[in-house]
Amino acid sequence: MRLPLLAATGPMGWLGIVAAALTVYALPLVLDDAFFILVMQSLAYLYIVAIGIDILVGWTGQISIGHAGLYAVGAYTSALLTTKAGFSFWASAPLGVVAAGIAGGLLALPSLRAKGPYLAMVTLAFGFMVEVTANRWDFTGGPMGIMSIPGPRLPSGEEMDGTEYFWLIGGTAIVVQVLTANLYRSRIGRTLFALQGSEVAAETVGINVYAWKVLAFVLSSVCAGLGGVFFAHQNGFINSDTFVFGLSVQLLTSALMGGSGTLFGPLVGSVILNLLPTIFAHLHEYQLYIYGGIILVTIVFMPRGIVGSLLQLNVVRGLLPKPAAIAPDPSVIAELREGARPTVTVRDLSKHFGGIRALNNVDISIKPGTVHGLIGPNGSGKSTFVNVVTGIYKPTSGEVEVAGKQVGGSSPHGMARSGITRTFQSIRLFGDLSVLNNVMVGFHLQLRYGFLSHLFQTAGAVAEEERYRRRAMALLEFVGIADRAEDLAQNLSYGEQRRLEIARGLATKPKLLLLDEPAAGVNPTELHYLADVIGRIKAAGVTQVVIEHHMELIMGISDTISVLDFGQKIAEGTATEVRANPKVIEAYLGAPAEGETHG
Amino acid sequence: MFANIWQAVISGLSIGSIYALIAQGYYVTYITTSTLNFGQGEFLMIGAMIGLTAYVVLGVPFPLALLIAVVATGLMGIALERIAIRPVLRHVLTHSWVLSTLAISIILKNGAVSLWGPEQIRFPSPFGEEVLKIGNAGIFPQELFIIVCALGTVAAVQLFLKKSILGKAMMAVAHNRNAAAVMGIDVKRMVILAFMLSSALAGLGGILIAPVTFAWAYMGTVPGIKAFAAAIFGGLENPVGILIGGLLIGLLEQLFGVINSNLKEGITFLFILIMLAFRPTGLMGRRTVEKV
Repeated sequence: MRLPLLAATGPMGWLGIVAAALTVYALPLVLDDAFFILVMQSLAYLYIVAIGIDILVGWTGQISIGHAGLYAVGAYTSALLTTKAGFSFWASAPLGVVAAGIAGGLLALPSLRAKGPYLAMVTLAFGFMVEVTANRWDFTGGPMGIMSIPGPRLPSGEEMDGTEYFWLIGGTAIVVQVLTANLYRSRIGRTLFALQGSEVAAETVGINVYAWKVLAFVLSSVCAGLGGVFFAHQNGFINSDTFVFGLSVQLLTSALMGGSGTLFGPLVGSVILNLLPTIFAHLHEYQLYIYGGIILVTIVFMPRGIVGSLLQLNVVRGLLPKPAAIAPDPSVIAELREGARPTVTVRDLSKHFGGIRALNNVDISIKPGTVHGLIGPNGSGKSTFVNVVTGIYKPTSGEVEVAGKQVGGSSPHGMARSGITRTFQSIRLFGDLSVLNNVMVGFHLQLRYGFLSHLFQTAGAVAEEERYRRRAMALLEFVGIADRAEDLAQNLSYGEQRRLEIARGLATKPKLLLLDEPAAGVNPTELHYLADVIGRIKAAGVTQVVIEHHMELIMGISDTISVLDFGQKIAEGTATEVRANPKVIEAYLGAPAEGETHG
Repeated sequence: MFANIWQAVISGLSIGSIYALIAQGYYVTYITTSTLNFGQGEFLMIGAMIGLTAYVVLGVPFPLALLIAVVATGLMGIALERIAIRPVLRHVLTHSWVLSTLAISIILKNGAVSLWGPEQIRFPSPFGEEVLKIGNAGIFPQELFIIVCALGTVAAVQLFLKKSILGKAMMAVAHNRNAAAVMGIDVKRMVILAFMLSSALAGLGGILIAPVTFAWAYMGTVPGIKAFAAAIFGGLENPVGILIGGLLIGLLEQLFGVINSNLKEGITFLFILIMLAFRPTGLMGRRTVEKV
């Protein structure tokens, strides 16, 4: 995680919560002014919405310019239930949140495969649909909206006054912030950040990217719905004029300008954007200039937002608590040997792209515990082979079998589940996560505690995380980068990044680990180290397929080598056999000239 | 009923060709920089307001007013690129440009209110307000002018990109930035040109559409977004898809408007949501397989 700031369970965390609670309690008492209290109420619920946006945008790397729609779903649901069905606030509010969550889940469906501007369009279209529907539908009151929405009642039967309502919203905001902080520092936040780092890499360690994206959308929508509910019962009146595109932009801005993915960014952003109109109230004519100008300046000059930019400063970094040293637990290495070590068989595998036969009826049997080299000239189908075997491409025909059981044709996360994982020729790490957390993501399929346990930081979930952190440390030690555990993955050297990818792959406890050109771009010193690591992985009992151009490396480490040329396997055997094979020489050097002998 | 449909088709084609025109602007900047100006609608508005000032207030002949509007918005495109695009292109956050261009659009809107006030201003059509009868449907000559002028411009832009040296250089940048740079093409200048062209197209759209709607500070938001929908519908990197998308969306909303005016606004967005659920890169967009 970028910033392990608030530890809800630590003493600092509790101190923070108490301070926040006192602030919320004291604010309306100290500044006892009806207008000010109203502004503070709005700030608090828009802040909740901004937290939700940050989960979607800052953590997961998606974009939304339609959150006003989700906010509206919460607001209208609760308003309709109280005015038309006679529900009390306490009954309608949770239902409003649920409705927004469902709407978010639906919105996720067209969003899953859409990226960049296309995703922006999906969310924008959703926002407009909701706005237009609310405006045109009689049931939602049309352009007139819904009036006399009752506020929440106290147990005494009295309706809450402004101060009490602020306490309710402010208190809820604190709870949301704490729970979000829990997710942030747990497996959940880590997995969402991994999606932002690289969806493909996340898949290959067993993360079902679609399912987790839906989770991000739902979480984000729940926050938006909660904010919307509070809004609906604030003034007793809503209409569609509120839920416009401009609101979506404002909400996105408050998350981004505060500092997306920084945990406290949404708070800072919301405070600034919500107090701004009040501060500059006398400059009414210029308000939009100021608003636009502030967005532009923060976006251009503080790309990581206000909190993010502050945290780039060494002074601020020095103030952050240093993470405690983690004692490595080497049992993780011993366990690599455990369990069945199946033969992985690739049978009659073909992959055609249009007319191009990138792979053509390839049969390769990979013996357990060996290093199986795969070589071939450029364009011979090596990369296609890796992509098909790891589930990134669907094979045109043929299958992959693990221990005689067919696993072919499934998704990358399905392949990871079957015990096949990989590294990438062009490195794919989760750049915003620490080195240690990159390995932690690799444990995805082994972790037993789910969303709720992490949301409430149950003892079991905390203990499991601690246990796996020690195992992750052992894997980092295994590949020789334990000293970089707390650095961001993006700050590692090239060779170190390659080793980190291997450690992440090993964390999945693979039955087969495919290394796709691990030596590409690696300097001679690192190369030596790499051969050593591959040797030690073999000693630990993990079957490996190594795709490489570096002949010296591949000849030195492989037990068996298969040679591909034009999508076909042309030779197989030990290094010596392959080296002497005339077909291989021909593939690499061309056909021998007339009269020349070879051998 | 039949007359209504006929009329809706003409209106749909005319508004649709405006969407297609603005969307071509999204296309040229997207292929060169993978960004687009979320404030295209505000450039459209500025084009209309400048045109209005020149044509109505200053009494400049319409063709000259049109030229002034197009040149002015084109120059503003250069400023946009410098202020809101270039500084954020290499940012850690890949979405910075969404907010930076939206920020510009917010400022432009406020600027328009300050300069021209918040009211809707009538923009007299240079072709008069007389309704042409084609069959039993009434059509404004301005609508026909829009179709001819907008679609003609779209064709001209494509000709420019495919045939002229400058256009080819721009396409080269779109195809492969680094290779283009190595071949001696000034990539930075091509990017500026793309934003200039994009903004000028929006400005032209503004002066074309203003006589049919009204000219005012908030006129741009909806066409800007609908044009974005058109570009997304067709696939941002496919000019033909974009043209189809624009015309289709224009037709769709006008035709549904005949059935029920409540459907008119929502239909575009429902349509695009369904479409993207099945084809996440648009109708004719390239399906990208991530290379690993």
